[in-house]
Amino acid sequence: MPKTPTHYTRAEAEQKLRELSNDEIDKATFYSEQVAALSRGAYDPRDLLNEACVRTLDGSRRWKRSLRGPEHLFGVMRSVQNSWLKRDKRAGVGHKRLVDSVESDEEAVVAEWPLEQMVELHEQAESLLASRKLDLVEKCVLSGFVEGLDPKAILESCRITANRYVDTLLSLSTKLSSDTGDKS
Amino acid sequence: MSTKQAKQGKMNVLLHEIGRAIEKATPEQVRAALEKSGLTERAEENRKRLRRALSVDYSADMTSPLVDRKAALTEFGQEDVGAYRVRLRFTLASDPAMEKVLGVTLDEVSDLTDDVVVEYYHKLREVIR
Repeated sequence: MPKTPTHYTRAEAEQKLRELSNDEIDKATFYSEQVAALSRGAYDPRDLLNEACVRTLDGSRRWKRSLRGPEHLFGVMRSVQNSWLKRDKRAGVGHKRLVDSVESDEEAVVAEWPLEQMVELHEQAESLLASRKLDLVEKCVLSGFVEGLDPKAILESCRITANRYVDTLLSLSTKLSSDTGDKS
Repeated sequence: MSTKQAKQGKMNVLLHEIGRAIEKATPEQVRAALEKSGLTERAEENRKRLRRALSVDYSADMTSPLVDRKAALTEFGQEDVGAYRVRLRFTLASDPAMEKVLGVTLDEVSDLTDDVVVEYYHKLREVIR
C-alpha cells in the first residue's frame, strides 16, 4: 500500500490557502504580529505573512499535512524572519536591536530563538513584572516562567483553569509584543 | 550553564507555551487577544488583502516541481521565472497600490514575456528591500 505523502503538493497547498477561514487568517495575522515583534520591529508583519504565502504558493516551502494553516504559516514566517536577518546582516544593513546570531529551523513550529533575543525578552518580562501593567493572574503566570517553573506547576500555584491559562498567555504575548513595539 | 543560557531556557519555555496557547486558542480567544492589542481593524484589512491575493489562480505559473526547476536553473543558469510571476501577481493582488509603483497591472502579468517578468521582479525587490 503506498504511503500517504507527508506534505501537500503545490496545487493542494494553493487550495488549502484559499480555504483558510476568517478565524484562521486572524490567527495567522496574530502570529505575524508576534513574529514581527520578536524581530524588534525590523520587519513588517504584513510583509512576513505575504512572504510566507508566496513561498507556499511557489512551492519553495512545503506544507506538512500534519500542520494546520496558521501553524504552517507561523513556521514559514519564522524561517523568513531568520533568513531576512541573515541576509541583512550579510549586507551590513543595521536594524535596531538586531540579534547577533540567527538560526534557521525549517520544520519546527516553535523552536529555539536566538540567545540575545531570548535574554532581551527575559529582561523585558522582568520589567513588565515590575510595572503595573499586569493583573494578578498575569503576574503569577509570568513570575512562574521567569522563576523557571514548568507550566503544570504554574497552573497549580496560580490556581487557574487550563482555559484561563490560555487566555493569560495570549494576553501576556500581546503585552510583551506591545512593549517590544514601544522600544524598537 | 551560563546565566544567559539559563534565561534562554526559561524564555524558550514561555515562547513554546505561547505558541501552544495560540495553537489551542479558540476563535473567540484569538479575537479577544486581537481586540486587546488593537489589531482588530488591521485584521479586517488583512483578511480582505489576503482573500484578494488568494483568489488569483497561480497554478499556471509553475509548470515543474521545485526539484526539477532547481536542477534546470543550476544547469542553465536561468532565473526562476515561474516563482517570480507568482510573487509579482501576489504582490499586485494584495496591494493594488504597487501597480503604480511598478508600472504594471495584475492583469498584464500573465501576458508578459519571461524576460520582462525578470525585470519587474528585480524592480520589485529593489522597492521592497
